Amino acid sequence: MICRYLLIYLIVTVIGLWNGSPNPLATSGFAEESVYLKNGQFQKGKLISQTDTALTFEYVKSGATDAVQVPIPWDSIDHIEFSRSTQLLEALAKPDAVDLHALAQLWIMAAPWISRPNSPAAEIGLVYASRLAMSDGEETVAEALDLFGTIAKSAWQPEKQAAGLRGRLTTLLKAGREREAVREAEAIAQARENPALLLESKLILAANAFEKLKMLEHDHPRWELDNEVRPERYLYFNTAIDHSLYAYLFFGSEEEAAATGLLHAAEVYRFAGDQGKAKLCAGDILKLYPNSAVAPKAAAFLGETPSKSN
Amino acid sequence: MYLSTQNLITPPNHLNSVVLFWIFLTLVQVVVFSQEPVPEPGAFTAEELITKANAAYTSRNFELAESLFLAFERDFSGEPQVKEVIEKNYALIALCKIINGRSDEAAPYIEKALPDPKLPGDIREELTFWNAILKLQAGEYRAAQEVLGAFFQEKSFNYQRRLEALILFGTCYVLEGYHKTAAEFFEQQIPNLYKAKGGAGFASRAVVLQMVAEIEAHQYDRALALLKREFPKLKEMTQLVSFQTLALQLGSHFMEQGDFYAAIACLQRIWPRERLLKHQNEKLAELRRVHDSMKGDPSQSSALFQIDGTIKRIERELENFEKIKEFDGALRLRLAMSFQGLERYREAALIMEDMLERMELSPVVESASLAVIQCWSQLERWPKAVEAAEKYLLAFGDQAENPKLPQVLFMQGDAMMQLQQNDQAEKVFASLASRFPQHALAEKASFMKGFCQMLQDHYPEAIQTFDQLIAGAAGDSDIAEDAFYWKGMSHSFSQQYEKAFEQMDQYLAKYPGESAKYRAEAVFRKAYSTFCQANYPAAIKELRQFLVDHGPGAKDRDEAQLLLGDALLGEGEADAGIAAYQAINPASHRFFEDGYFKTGQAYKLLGEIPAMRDHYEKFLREYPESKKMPEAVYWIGWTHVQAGDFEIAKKVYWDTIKLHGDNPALFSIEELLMGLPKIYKRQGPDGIGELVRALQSMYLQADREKKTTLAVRTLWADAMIKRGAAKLSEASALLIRLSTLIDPEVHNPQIVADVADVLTEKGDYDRAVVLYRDLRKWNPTSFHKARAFKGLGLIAEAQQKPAEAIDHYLDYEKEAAASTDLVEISLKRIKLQIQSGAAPKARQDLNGLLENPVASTRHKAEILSLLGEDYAAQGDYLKATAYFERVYVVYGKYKDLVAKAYYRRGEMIEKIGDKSSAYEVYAELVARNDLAEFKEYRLGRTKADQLKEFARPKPETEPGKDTKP
Repeated sequence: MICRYLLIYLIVTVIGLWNGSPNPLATSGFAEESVYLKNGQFQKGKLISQTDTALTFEYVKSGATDAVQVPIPWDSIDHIEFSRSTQLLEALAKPDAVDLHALAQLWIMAAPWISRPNSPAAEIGLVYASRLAMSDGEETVAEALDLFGTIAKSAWQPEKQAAGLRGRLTTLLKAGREREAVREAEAIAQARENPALLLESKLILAANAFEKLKMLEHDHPRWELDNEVRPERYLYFNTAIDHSLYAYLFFGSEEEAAATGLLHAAEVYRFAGDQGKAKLCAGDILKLYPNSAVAPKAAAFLGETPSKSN
Repeated sequence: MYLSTQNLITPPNHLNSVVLFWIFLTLVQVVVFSQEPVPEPGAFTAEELITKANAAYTSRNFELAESLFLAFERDFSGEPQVKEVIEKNYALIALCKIINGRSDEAAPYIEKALPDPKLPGDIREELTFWNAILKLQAGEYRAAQEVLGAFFQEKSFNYQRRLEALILFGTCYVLEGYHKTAAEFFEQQIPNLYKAKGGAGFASRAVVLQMVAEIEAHQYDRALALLKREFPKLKEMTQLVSFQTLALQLGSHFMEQGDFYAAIACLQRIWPRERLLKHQNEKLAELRRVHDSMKGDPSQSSALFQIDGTIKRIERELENFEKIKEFDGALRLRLAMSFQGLERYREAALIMEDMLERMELSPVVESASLAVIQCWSQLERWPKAVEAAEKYLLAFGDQAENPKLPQVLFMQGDAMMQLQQNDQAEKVFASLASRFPQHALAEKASFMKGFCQMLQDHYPEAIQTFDQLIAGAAGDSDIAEDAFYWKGMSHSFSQQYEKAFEQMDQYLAKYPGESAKYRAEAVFRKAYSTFCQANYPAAIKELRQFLVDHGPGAKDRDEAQLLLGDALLGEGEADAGIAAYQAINPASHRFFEDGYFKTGQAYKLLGEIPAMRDHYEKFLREYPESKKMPEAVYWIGWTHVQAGDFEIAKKVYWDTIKLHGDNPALFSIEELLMGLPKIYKRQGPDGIGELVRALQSMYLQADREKKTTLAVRTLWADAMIKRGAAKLSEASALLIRLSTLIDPEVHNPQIVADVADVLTEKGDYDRAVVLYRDLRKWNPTSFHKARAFKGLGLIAEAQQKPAEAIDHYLDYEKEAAASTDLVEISLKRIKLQIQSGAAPKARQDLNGLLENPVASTRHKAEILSLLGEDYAAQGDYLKATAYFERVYVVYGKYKDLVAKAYYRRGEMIEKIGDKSSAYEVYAELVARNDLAEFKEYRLGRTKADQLKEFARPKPETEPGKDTKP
């Protein structure tokens, strides 16, 4: 098989069927992508399919009218320049203006190339998944979760992988599946030795618990008297604090994440009326992370916070 | 503080020896070979010998070369013509000795060789470098530094080796004990090393050396600054294991000194053991790859020499580091203890909890596991404390010799008690006492077991446990005294007053004097027991003695006053009784109010009506916010009614309502309003009409004066009177008017519930739901909360939301266990569960309801029907038939249920396949004309027609006998 690819590659490059300089062929009917080979040659055409070892590419030879399909080993490809149609650009610029079906179409076309550098698949995937996640339908949410998961796993850009993970976690949390969200975050972080994802997920979980705490206290302003609500309130409060402190306690050298978590913990404590502990958390930021981005906020927080605990 | 420093593992003291070892390793890193024999004198001529020596050197046979050069010197040193050759050989002999691992013998030859101005540059460089090293080895640090300084300045020498010389120059300061100078030297040089080409590795070594120097010089803050500065470059560091081990040492120092923030800053910058090993091994593999690629290239000999040294250093460091099995535990425990030092128990507990999750079992993890239970207990996060204890027991509970197990079990039991899981706590304490009978906590655990039994109202078991303790414990033990007293209390709680008296009497005899722990309580309990046995004369004596012995402020004093008043009144000593009540401290809220109202009743019994009226009027003035305020108004009114003064009686009510009626906090006003009809009814048939007019008038006035709460109350009272008079539509109309006025945040939840119920009846679900939710929101302790759950359940059911309805009904059942509506709502819930196929406990619940004394006969018929449906749903048709049959046999008056039961029984029998019997059931249903209005009757008739062919022939009757009575 490899010999066959090599032979075709030789024919394509040595015999000179491909352009040696930027002089693309105008081929009507194709969504034109440009494939650049490592030897400097390139060709415009259509990406048909791919395997682990080769790309099937369709293009029109110079002077010919019919398109041909050729397999090109990935080893010989330097990069692909993916075209961005007007529809795609519009969808990325104003996702709410495009209907869900059109987003689905764009995603289906782009999805196979999500792992290939320069592919816009993750970008359109994120837009589509976010729209799906806003739905109340169980199946649609499940589809959004799958899609975020694919992006988190396969996107060629690390930042899009992180966005995929963020989307998946927030969608799981919105669906009330906290335990699943925590497990996933930990598994991904462990697999990649990348604490940033784990820490971000912990902050998302903390924020989620804090929101629930606020909502609960809004719905039950006299929660302290309520035997049924009180345990739930403490659960949200403790979860919010514990997750907020995670980076500080376990990845204390990740200064920004640790300080951000501490400030969040301070806010939760302040909301809960424990000004003393709120001040301690904000004070920790100034003592241990004085150069962090949130240090000025911590200083302001301390200025705002009354000196005596409620 | 729960943790003591005993929990710390010993810091890795071998740290400095590790560092010094690799410094030494830098100096001695060549392999020592066995020496070649020196040829016999005269074996060769001078020319032969020097030719052979040079050949051996050139062919890199340094052992042979050394022997031959030395033989040449020995044999021909007296010959002037070869003097110059001998002098030139000194350098080669020195090099051979160094290469052959006998560098200690090289020094005299180096000394002799170096003055030669014709010495080739590469050999001079080699010898100068080794000259320095040999001086270093000999402890001549100043001399070594002079040579190294000169070496570094010599620009013709190999650049990498010059950097090595710079590092060794600083190392001399460290070895000589000039730590401050060393630290300062490296502080200055490290930036230059980072900038130098290929200097990163040297910088990394310099950082480690500076860290050693800073710590040795007790410049801990500078060491921390160095750690913070270099931490971001940790991944690139060659000797990161050394650096991180030093950081742990530094963190430990700060922690022991109580500088917890500095300790945290250090300890946070240390990687876990596995990560350190992984990165250090990767670094080592990379160095080995480079080393292998340079091998055999003479031009790389200097770099090879340096890399070889580094590899050996790292190998040695790794070997030592791998021996520290509890590195992570030591690190985490120190971090946790630093947070604990700051009294940040949550942070400490979270870290230690994580240790248990991630680390292999070890003594450090065991200590941390214990500490984490203590921390959660300190924070009163009892569920966490129980969970932590369970984890500890799972991990270390099977170690029979573990001395901490009893402590853990005790803490677990204690946490369970705090969670009111007294049954579980009892088991844990019992387990502790039986597994560790000799342990110091065993007796206390037995006592706690008895206490848990008492808290569960299991008094006979508690008394038995306390008895066993009393019998087994040492007479003077605290636990025996506790058991003695609480045995008496268990008798008292179980209303065995005679036994309680005896036990307390024995307690006082056994523990005489003021040192007895429960002396006052026991004396009071004796008097209480006497009172409860209605032996008032004795009770009066004992209570008086108690009050004499226990002055104002003493525990139980106010209750004793109340009992004394009761006993005196019981003996007819009214004045003394009243005096006893009046001595109760108003601060003891409950006893004071009880005494106050009992005094009022005493005046009533004595016929002292004016005194009674004054008494209650005083209460009204002084305690208007009391929940007993309406009762006081009632009794004031009663005194006027007794005197025939209805108008004055009414005025008392209205004056109070006018005065306090707009205060939303006084929910007792509603009670007062509900007391009015009793007064007005006494006036005859027009009384209620007058009351309604008065209420409406007050409503209008309140509305004008924007006294919303008073307006709400009067309108509601009007509605309640109309409801009482069966004017339901008028009552509903008034309540619906109220829906725009009430504020659930402040108004009486009873009014809110009444309004919401009416809105539900009228189908205005949206507004009703808002009111029910607000009622729940603002009145979490009100028993009207149950009405909100019920209403929400009814609405959800009406809106075809069965899951939501089930949840609300379940909430109602929890809240309203004693309500008359309980059976009805439970039935609704079970019906929905059966319909939705999710009734895991339906049968159990239904059988429970059957036993409920509140269940009416209609309820019972419904329960039997539902049990039939449940068996039918499970495919047990035969049993289902029995339940349906019971419905129409026993509860014939509920025709709707009877019709359905007939029809369903017929269906069940059909499913069994007995069509003849099924026909008989349908036929019996059709024969019941009183059921003709129900659809099951019509369906039954169709079925009977269909199954007619299966009808059994009628049994023949004996001639002359009538089958009918």
